[in-house]
Amino acid sequence: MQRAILALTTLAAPAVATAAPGDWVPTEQESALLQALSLRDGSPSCGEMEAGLPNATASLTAVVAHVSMPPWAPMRAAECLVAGHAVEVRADVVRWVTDPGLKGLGILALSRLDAMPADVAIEVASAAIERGPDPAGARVRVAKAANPAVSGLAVVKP
Amino acid sequence: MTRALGVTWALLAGCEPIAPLDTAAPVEPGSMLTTVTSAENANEDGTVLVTVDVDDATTAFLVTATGSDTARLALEEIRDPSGKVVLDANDWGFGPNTLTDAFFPTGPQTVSQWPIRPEDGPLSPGKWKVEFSSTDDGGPVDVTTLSKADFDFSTGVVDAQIVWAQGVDQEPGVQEAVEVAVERWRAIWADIGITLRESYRKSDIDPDLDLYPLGSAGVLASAENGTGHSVQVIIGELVSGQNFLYGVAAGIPGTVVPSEETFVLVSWLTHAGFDGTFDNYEEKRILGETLAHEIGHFMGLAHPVEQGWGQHDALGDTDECSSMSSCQTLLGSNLMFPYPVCTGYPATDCTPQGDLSGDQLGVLNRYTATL
Repeated sequence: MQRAILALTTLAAPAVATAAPGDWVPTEQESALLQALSLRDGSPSCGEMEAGLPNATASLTAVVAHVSMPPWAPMRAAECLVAGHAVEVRADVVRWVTDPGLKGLGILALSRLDAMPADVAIEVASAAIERGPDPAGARVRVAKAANPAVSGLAVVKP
Repeated sequence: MTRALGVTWALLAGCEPIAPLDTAAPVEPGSMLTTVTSAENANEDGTVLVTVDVDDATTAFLVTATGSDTARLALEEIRDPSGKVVLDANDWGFGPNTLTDAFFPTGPQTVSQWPIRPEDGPLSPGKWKVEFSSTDDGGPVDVTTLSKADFDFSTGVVDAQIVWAQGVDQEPGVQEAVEVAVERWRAIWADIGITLRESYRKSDIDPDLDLYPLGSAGVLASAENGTGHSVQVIIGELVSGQNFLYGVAAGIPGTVVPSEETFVLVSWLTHAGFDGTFDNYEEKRILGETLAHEIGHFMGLAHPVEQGWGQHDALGDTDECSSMSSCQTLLGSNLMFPYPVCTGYPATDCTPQGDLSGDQLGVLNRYTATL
């Protein structure tokens, strides 16, 4: 059962994997964001978590780039980027679906095509099918999109 | 919807006394269970009153009440054979301690376990009364009461059915990761004397698990292929729905009676992280702790403290704390703590969370499907 009674407070130093100290030092608000992203059962809504962040896109992007533990923290941050900031981070999302080292983010993005503006979703889906590491898997996920202009991209042309 | 004393009765019969577990001879755990079902209707004011016949051998019961698709059911109270109210929603529903979420009308099904904690004491023989309320005044309510005769609340066996959503077992590395995770879950339980007896099965459930909170016919069909008293964990790619969830139990507690809501849902993808691969033991261990954590909810455990630090469980031996630092220090290694405590910069370590208190063990062992 999700039991996410939210009261954002400061957080102990987050676990990060890819950045050296100094690359990104979370602010107090970002530490609170990290704590909310770390809840095991699930997190509060993106809107709740982004409240109080001066630049939510930058903070969420930093989490995706720098945090690896718990493993769902960057995934949830990516979810919020896709849901609310897809236009701003479209180049990042395209990279997620084409870089084999970002398979998790890529699957997540392809599962959330309906949350993106149509033009972004089409660009992301096309990139995954044409340049991604798993075109067949991408087609399966793209085909589930509600927007026919997006799901139609999964059809293999003769 | 108002509360009223019983008009609709679930007439339960046929509960044959069952001898206490003979430790000298192997006993099939399922033989310690008795199931009674009845089809009822809520009273005109929405009340549903269920009678549970408790004999000398009965040590715990689990009542699952399911109304129509649009109904919202909730537990109101439980009374012992003398008429004393032993559990009242008014005492718990909005207090600072969490005992069960059966009080909250979130869906057409509600599940009530008694006793929950060691301090709730043994069942006295006689007719127990469990009162529910339904938003569907006069509507149908199916009731299934599962009773167990297991006097040993210090050890137990739990059957778990692990269900692959469609194609998930074919994802590279996922099956191996889940098997490693299950070993972590098994080890956590072994430390407290509970034996995990798992089985695996495939399903055609959509891996984008949009099943919370109401479940699906596919969940029911899968559960019906289990033992009839198995907890059911569905491994999907994502857990969709209103919120972004990584693991979720249908309720605190959930029901092992096969139903559309007999589930714990877990996303493999969010546990594999940004690279989508289980490339280190840490991720598999955390997945195993999520499995044990969500099953803990399903079997009746709340978080010892909620983020915000003002809401605690209803157990006497889980530490009280009131700040993030004190809660992480006192409870950060507890299985039911609400998040992994990950520290260090740029470390990738999170504190192992496998500890359970004596009272938490007591809750798990009282759960009716722990045999």
